[in-house]
Amino acid sequence: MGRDRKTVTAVDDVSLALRPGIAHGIVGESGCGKSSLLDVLAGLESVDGGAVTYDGRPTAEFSRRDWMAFRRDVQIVFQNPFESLDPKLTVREAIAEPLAVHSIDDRHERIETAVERVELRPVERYLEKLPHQLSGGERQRVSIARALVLEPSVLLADEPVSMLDVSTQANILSMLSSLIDELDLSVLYVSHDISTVGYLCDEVSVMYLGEVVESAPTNRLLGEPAHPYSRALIDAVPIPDPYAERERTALVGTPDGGGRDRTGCLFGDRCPDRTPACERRPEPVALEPTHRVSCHLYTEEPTDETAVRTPVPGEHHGGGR
Amino acid sequence: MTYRSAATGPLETYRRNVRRGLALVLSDRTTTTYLAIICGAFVLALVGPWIAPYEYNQTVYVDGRIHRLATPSLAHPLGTTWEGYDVLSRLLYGARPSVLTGVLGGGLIISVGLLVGVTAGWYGGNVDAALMRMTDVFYGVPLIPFAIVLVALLNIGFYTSIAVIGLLLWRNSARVLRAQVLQLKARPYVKAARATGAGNTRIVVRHVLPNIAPMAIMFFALGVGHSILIEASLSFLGIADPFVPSWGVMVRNAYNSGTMSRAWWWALPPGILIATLVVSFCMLGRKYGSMAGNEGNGTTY
Repeated sequence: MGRDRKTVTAVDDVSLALRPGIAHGIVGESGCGKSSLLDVLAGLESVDGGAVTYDGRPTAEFSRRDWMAFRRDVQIVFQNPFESLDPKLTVREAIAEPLAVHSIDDRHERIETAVERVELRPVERYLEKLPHQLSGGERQRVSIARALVLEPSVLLADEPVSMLDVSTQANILSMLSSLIDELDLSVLYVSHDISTVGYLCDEVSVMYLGEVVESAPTNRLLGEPAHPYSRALIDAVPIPDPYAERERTALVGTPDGGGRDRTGCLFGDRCPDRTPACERRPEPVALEPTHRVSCHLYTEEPTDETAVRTPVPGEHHGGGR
Repeated sequence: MTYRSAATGPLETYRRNVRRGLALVLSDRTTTTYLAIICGAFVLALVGPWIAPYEYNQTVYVDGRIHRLATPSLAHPLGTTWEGYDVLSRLLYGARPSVLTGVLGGGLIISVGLLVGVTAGWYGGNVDAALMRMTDVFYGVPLIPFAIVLVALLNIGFYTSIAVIGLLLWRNSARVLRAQVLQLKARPYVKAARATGAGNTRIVVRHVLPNIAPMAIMFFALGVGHSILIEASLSFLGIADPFVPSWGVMVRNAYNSGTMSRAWWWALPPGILIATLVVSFCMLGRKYGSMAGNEGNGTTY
């Protein structure tokens, strides 16, 4: 026991700041560390090195009391509608739990308001239902109601719609989007699906193997992705037109190919625009005050023999893959 | 408190779970049958001594001579034993110690199993390692020889033999319940409860116990069956209190009398009753476990 512990670094060097009324999206492939990041931010996992600060104070210095205040203010919604609600608890009981934990009164009213907010109407039809009597979309709405009943200021969302069918996705996303404005929520929305992120979020960070490789306002990132990985992700979004001319994404492989042990750029082994400079880890560069990217294609001083290629949109699938 | 008035307290949840569990058992014909047999055994255990026509150790005389090994008749529906005891009366008396052994043994098994399994699974780390290695040690103990030694040391007694059974057989349930808790710990609804600030006690009472309840009930039922069976074995080997007339002791007496091949009415009825009761408990436990496991876990609507 206890010997041979391996350290798996899931998330490294991620800096994010959340602001009220703003939804920040994080996209990346499965296994890139998105969910681990949320667990850390929700205080479910501790950080080794680095800090999560909340209202200007690192969570590592929190007292019991601070934690309770934090837990009241930061809520999380999970991905799998079949596992995000306790199968033994009714909707009312599930939503009442956070209120009971924080000894808040007038529960009836608060529970009903929360259920009303997530558009489960009429409210009384849902309160005594058990999860197996609800559809996937209804369950996710209940999860959101449970998260919102404490009136938090931060909502962490771990792919809350990725397992739902497309029409339900759209309904829940538009509901979330109006809730963000109405309640002035700071939202961190994590997904592998860049199209849902584009729909909901004001700004987006692209994550690869536990690091943020690019972050920018949503329109800018979708319109002019700078990092080769971001471009590949955006190219992979399906276009609902069978005759649309499009270029296929040039990515092969999976993001686990020993990438974390590399000394160079983490994306180096899969990058279509790889250059010798990629043997070193790139530093983040600001293309605009709000648009940052970690890629050697954009570093100021080219290293000796390597000429920096300025990518032209549409011409980024080089590398003969 | 306001907690209860909102009708969202744990008591309400537990009551609903019991109602739904019972409805589930009654929704199936085989489980209903097993439950009926078990209820019948409980009724016998309760009223057996009162409705028995004779005392369990009352020798019956006919014409001044002991009425030995009488075949079944109207006066003695299940005949008599070598000592001239009425077999039916002994069976009726024997229901109580047998059922009591089962319930106490099963209760002990599941109590220790839950305590060890949930603590190990929930706290993890060194607590888990220590408790599970202890469980492994208990796995290494051979039951019957251990019981023989222990009962010899502690003197033969009805309750000591139950204690020996219960304090050894919790090992299976502890392991499986620990695994269940490990699974539940990673469920998003448990993580959501933690993220909301719920403490260990609340999460265990509110989320963990209700969700491992079907498994715990299954292990309780299996434990009851096991305890009855092992008590019968210990009785048969002569390691249980011979003065408590359990069904196992009856089989032993019949065997020891050397007349078992002739007096089928003496040994068969307690044997059949033990088998029926054990099978009913085990089958009810297994079937309920799988029925409750299939229900409401998200895969079925």
